[in-house]
Amino acid sequence: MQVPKRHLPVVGLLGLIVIAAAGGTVYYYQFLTPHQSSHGPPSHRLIFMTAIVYEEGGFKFYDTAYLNQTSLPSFNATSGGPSLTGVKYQNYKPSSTDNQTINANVGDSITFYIEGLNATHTAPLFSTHHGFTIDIMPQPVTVTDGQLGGDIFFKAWYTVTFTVNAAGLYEYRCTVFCSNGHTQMFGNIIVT
Amino acid sequence: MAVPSNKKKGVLDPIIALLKWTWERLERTLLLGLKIVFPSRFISPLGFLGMLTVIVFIVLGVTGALLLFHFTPFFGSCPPSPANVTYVPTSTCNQAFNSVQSINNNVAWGSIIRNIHYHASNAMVLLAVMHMFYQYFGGRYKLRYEILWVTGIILGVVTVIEAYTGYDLIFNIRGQLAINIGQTLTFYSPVIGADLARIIFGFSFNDLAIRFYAFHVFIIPIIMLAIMAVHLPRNLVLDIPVASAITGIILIMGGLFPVDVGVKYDPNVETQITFPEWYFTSLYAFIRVKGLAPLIAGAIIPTIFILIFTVAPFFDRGKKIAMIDRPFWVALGVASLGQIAIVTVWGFRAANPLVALTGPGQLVIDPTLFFGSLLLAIALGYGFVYAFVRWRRAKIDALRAARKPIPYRKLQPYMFSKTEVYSLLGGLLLLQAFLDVSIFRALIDNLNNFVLLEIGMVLVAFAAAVHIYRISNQAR
Repeated sequence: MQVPKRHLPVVGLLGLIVIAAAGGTVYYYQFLTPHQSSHGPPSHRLIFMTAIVYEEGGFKFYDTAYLNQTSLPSFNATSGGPSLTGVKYQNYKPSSTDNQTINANVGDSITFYIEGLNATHTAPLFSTHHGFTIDIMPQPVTVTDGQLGGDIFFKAWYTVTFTVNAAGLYEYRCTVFCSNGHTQMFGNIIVT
Repeated sequence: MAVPSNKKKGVLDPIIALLKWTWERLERTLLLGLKIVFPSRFISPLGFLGMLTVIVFIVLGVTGALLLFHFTPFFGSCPPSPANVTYVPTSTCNQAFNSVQSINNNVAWGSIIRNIHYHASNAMVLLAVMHMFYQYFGGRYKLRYEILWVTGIILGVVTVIEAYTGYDLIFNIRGQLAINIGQTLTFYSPVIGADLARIIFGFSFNDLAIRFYAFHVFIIPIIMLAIMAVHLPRNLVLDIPVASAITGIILIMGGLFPVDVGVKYDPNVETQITFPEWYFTSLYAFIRVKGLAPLIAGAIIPTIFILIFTVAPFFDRGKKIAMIDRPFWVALGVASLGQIAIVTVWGFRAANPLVALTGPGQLVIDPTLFFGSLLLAIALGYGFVYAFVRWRRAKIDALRAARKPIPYRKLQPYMFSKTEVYSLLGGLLLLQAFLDVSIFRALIDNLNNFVLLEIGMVLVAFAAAVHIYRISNQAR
């Protein structure tokens, strides 16, 4: 039988420190640090989108990114629209895969770049352009660049930047009666 | 056993009695034909790395079975995009990836299960390689273990193939790179290559998805189980706390480094630069060497490397198994470890090893630098280790000849005092209780990474408590 000699309880103290550190770390990061549901600090989303009558697909993203700088990409409504060349950005993938739904946190900014596609289709066409707005009044957003309710002409670009102020499920939708499927030409913004 | 015992009655006695009862009945079954020893004191986990690999295999089986519920082994069709738009992904394009993404984002606890599955797959490859090298350096392939050794090497290769089919099923650009390389290597192998490629990879991504699914979830696991029947030794060691700690570490890794779904593969979009999983970057480096035929680089060189290990027991015929008596084999092992490390790092580098690989223009590796670094590492590693082992041997022999004691440092085990044991166990118990509450809070708040991290910590804390308990028992 081995009898332990009297000694400083080094390992025991170290063990207790490790245990306390483990518990403390979990407590600090889980209970004291605020959490954003899925994404961290970068909070200005760029949404590159095409608009065409609902029968041909309605609003569809073709690229999304987090803006990682304070100024917006240069924008020209007629000759070519915006691009990400020379812009600092990070990948942003919306949590939904339908290419119409954006998820954002309260306080985040969203910039839409929308290109009106030429509607070469068989469904009857009632307009020469689409429009864009958030379909709830008062609008839970602060517009910082461009304007809501503007027109998206075919073969031209439209942009608007706003900050979302309140949590909820919002719809962005077309404001111009463009075709028979006009009422279904919308997408969702989920703000948590 | 009617020996009157003066042992005190414990709280756990009925549970222990029930476990004993079950165990004795289980002896009537095939299960306990394997002699599984549960060591009562701590022994080095390096000795039962194989058993830990089996544990991780079981973890993979369970999580994989759960993932089956939500995975779609179907690629679908990706229509070409309109002329003036660069990227229009549709819901019909790459449905396998879409289903993985929905497991990650939408399915309840899907990201938890997927993270465990991913990190356990890495752990299994790592543990298998560590297991092999431990047995190699310990000379364990002698002592009539030759068949175990050879089947073990085959099992290792099959494990890597299983991991390969697994990460291809995600159909992100990383999986697509692996599929491309695998398909090309198979296609250009001699005589049967073209036919074999059609059998394995099929004619389209839809074929590929369903075939790799069949391989990954059924065919290869069955093959692995069959090989295990001739690889598992009859005497096994299973240390529950260590197994629990390993599982816990896998979960903690999953919580700290949650795995991404990656970039969706779309045939209409130009491929971006990406890397294979870490156990394939070595192959990737060889394939990218300038002027080396793909078949030689991707198939023949690795096969030779594996063959050298396979035949090792048939050339290392000496009776002695200690490292110090096998300088050639120890030096060879260290050299091969160094080689694996260097080639793996090369897999992530450009033609200039000081530059990180970022663009497709840097993909080709300069053969002089590449093979130069390899040869240098092999020569240095082999030479130094060989010389060192021979020098130690000579020194010990000289001491023996002079009848002097061989200097050998015995570590005095640290003895816990009673207070230390009680406070540590109490602390761990408090930690466990706090973690349990935190797990529920995290589940409610949908913080999946915290859930994984904290379940892992619970498992590790359990292992620590059992360990402290048993070393305190020794001191009593």
